[in-house]
Amino acid sequence: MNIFTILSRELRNSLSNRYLIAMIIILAALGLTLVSIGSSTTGAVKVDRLTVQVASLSSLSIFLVPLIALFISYDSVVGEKEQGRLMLELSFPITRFEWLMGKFLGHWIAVIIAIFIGYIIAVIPILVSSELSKDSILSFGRLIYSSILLGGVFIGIGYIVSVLVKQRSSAAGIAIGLWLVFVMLFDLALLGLLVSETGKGLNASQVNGLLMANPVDIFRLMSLSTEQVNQFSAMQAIGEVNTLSFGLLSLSMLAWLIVPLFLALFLFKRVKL
Amino acid sequence: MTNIRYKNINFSYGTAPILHDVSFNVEPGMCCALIGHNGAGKTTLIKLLLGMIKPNAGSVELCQFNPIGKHEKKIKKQIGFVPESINFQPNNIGLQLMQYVAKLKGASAKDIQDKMELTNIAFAQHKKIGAYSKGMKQRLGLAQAMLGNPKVLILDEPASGLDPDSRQILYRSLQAHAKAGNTVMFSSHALNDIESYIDHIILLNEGGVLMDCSIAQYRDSLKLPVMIEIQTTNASVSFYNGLKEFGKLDYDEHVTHITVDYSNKLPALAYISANSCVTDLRLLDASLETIYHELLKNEEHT
Repeated sequence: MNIFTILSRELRNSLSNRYLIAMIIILAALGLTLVSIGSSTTGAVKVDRLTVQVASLSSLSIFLVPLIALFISYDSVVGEKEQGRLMLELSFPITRFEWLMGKFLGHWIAVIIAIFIGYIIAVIPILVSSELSKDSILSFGRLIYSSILLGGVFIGIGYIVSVLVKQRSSAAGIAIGLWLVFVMLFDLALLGLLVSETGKGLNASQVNGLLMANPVDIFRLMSLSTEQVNQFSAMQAIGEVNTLSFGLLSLSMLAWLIVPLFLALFLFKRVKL
Repeated sequence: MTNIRYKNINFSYGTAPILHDVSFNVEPGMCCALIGHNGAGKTTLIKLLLGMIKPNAGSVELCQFNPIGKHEKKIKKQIGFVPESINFQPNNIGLQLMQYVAKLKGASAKDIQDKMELTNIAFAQHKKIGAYSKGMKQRLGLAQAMLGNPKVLILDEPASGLDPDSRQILYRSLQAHAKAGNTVMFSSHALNDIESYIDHIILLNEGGVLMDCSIAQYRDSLKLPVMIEIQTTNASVSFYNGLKEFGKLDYDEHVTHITVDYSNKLPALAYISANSCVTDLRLLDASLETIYHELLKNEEHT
């Protein structure tokens, strides 16, 4: 019961956060821009516009969803501590587990709402103007599902940072660093490896293993897992190497969701105030 | 039944010792002040009581249970806490904060209104906390702590930065809560302010308890010099010359102050009351601040 009290407070605070609102607007605005730019390719390859939009939104979400999630979570513990609220919060009749779990759920729901609003606005012009195939609707559903999981993963990662550091500014720096590593540097390193002499010897399962080490790549594989969408992805080559089922990718993503969250909970239980 | 019990507590942060062999109890109905210089261990004692940290040795009991462990939630329902510096979410309104805490503590809507009125903050309940003054935030902090009528109220430097009116509201509320049969324990540096509101003092020095009793007991045990205020009409020079024998004089036209050693108190009073020029007299006890400094001075000597 107490978890829900904390959840609703966090959700209310997050949704009134002007930076989160700004990010939702950016997500929707960029999505709408992609609708107009992306529609030119559909005529030649004979796929519907939603499929193209899913591929475009997927590329956009790789940058924005982890950013929103880290932004909302990086100061969850250290910020409360710095403001002198953490001791007061933990003096209430709640356990540390309930407090952090309530916060996590509140933040996750806020990110889910942001994703829904951003995506729905970005596809409204398509929904009202074109006929949609079952495949494209499935692709869109998978994009939403994988984006929700990706958001949860990065909230958990943000919590670990927030529990471990002593200053909010350090947490912000580390969060930006992690975003760069997961979203950009990891893939650059992976591509570098694949074109190197060492990388040429790697088989498909080894490449898959490397992809699983980054939740952003798992998200990419999940959201591009329908054949039609995959054609439009810049990562088409990797998509072809990938032999993992959607179920297995989902399980990997769930593991990425649960492990950081429980690690954050474990560390938080040991925090001295 | 003791509400707060510290038994042979030892605590250190890393290798730096903070508390050593600290033991004391605070009973129901008592308004107790933790006093001592910065770094004496006051906040650490509060953290131990709230279960935020564990002692290296010894035990802490809050309402007869260990604050850490399986009774954690049950115990936390019995306490109210006000931290030293409160920065509530500035975007929330006062009432939202109270409703949030009330939900967690299982307190009613009527209780919210009662506590906001008691602490004189009800008028600002619909304002954003960001627009509150320091005193208003502190009073809101006290109101949330008193929700659910906790058996034990714990406050860390509750009066820091408050104006005299807000301090008076705060201390009166604490005194009333203690008189209702609850336990109040707070740390403070404002010794002269708290004197008339508290029943008991725990004086900490260098991580240990220097004294643990009431202010009256402190005064009796220290046998400090006493100041007597005398009002006179047409007093003769010989009266003042005789008075000088008992201690140091400080006088103007109508009021005379004399500071006499504890051992000279009764003879001085006898001399004063035997003179017909004396129209009134008043014994001025040593202030808590004087007692505090005296105790620390004695401790340094020993």
